Amino acid sequence: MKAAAFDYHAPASIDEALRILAAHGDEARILAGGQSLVPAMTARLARPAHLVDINRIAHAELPTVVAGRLRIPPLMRHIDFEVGAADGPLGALLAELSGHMASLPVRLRGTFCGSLAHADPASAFVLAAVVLGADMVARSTRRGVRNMAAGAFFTGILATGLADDEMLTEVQIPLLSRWTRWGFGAVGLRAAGWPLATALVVYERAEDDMTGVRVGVGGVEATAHRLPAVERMLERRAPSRRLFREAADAAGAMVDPAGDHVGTAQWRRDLVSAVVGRALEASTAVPVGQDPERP
Amino acid sequence: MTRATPTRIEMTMEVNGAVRTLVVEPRTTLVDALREDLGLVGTRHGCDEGVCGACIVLVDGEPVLACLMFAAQAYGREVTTIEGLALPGALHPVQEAFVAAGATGCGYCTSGLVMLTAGALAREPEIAEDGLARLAAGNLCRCNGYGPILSAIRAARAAAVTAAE
Repeated sequence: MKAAAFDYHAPASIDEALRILAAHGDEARILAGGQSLVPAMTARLARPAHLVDINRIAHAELPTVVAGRLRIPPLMRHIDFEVGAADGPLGALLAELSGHMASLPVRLRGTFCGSLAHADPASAFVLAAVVLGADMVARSTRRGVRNMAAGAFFTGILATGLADDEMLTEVQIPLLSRWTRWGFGAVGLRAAGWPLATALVVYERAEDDMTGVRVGVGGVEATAHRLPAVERMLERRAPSRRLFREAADAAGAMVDPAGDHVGTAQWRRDLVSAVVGRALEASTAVPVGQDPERP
Repeated sequence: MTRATPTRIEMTMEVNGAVRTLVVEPRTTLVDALREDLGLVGTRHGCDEGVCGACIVLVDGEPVLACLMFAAQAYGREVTTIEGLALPGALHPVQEAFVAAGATGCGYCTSGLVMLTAGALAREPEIAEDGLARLAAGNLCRCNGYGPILSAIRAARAAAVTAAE
């Protein structure tokens, strides 16, 4: 099938892109990597009358670190995270998540900001934004710049708090301390396909106990979200197989997935337990070179 | 972009070494432009939603799903299709590896897999063993010929590593 007809715009700057958005409102969509938007257009699930291709905008690929926060620009591709977007655990965490994503051609084109603006609940980067407390920087000609916390940004399946004339121009993520441990788990029908369930666990471990525990799951409900009750079970406890098993079981009982043609709701709850369990297990494997103090 | 109207765009791109000028609708995908406007039908339509890899071509040397790129986006870029991967009458080392391994079932997915492999090895000649399966996992072969396909990719990697030395 072909996409519905549209006018094509290729602005050379973010300001120019914002002017086009301002002129066309909900008739316009930003095209970044296009790896989700283009199939949606081909299936006529999305029918923008104006497509604003931002790929010709210069200097929008490279991340910076300012005041302890990683700033991710609009054209930073999934593949760009492979080399480490920042020093330390945050760069390593995002590198691992990018490696889990889809296939090489998708990783070469797809962008971090585009993934977040698309807001697929199964996106590993959406999950990371929620768990890591990212700030979304949105710009428009009318409102200027405003920041949105990840928790408020994702409002439903493929839905965000972005206004029709706004562009997600930057995502900021706080750096993680060197004591940070993290683990990611995902289950899917295909290695290169969308996962059915994902989990990300992040905590600090300067001594034996886990502190600042954050646990999030994605792919099972309308938005990726944290599981505060599971986080409390793990907070200020030492890692053990039994504790991890209890936490994973609790996580499965806390989500409310819909059953579909792939499997029943109960099966999806079991998947959540499995991926949370795997993420917790992975968090105790010390990444090489990350922690010289604790051999 | 030399001229843009609401319905048609005149654009130029280099395809297999030749500069080509096309007049396309903005909604025309790169795979449609290659097949229908330029007659390069070695690039296949599979799923048209980016999950099968049958339409992979190289854009500025990188493997791209041609069903997920509008032709207009390739303006000014260098596009290589299976027809132009090697010189006329010759085979690219990746093609030779696929022939030697018998890695073609019905052949429908082959051009996409060859272009993927060529593009991936050009970026990184020494892809780790687990990375090879991960690479092939992005392309669907419904003859389920992944054994020979992996052998071919492995042999192509060996050739690429030798060539890089």
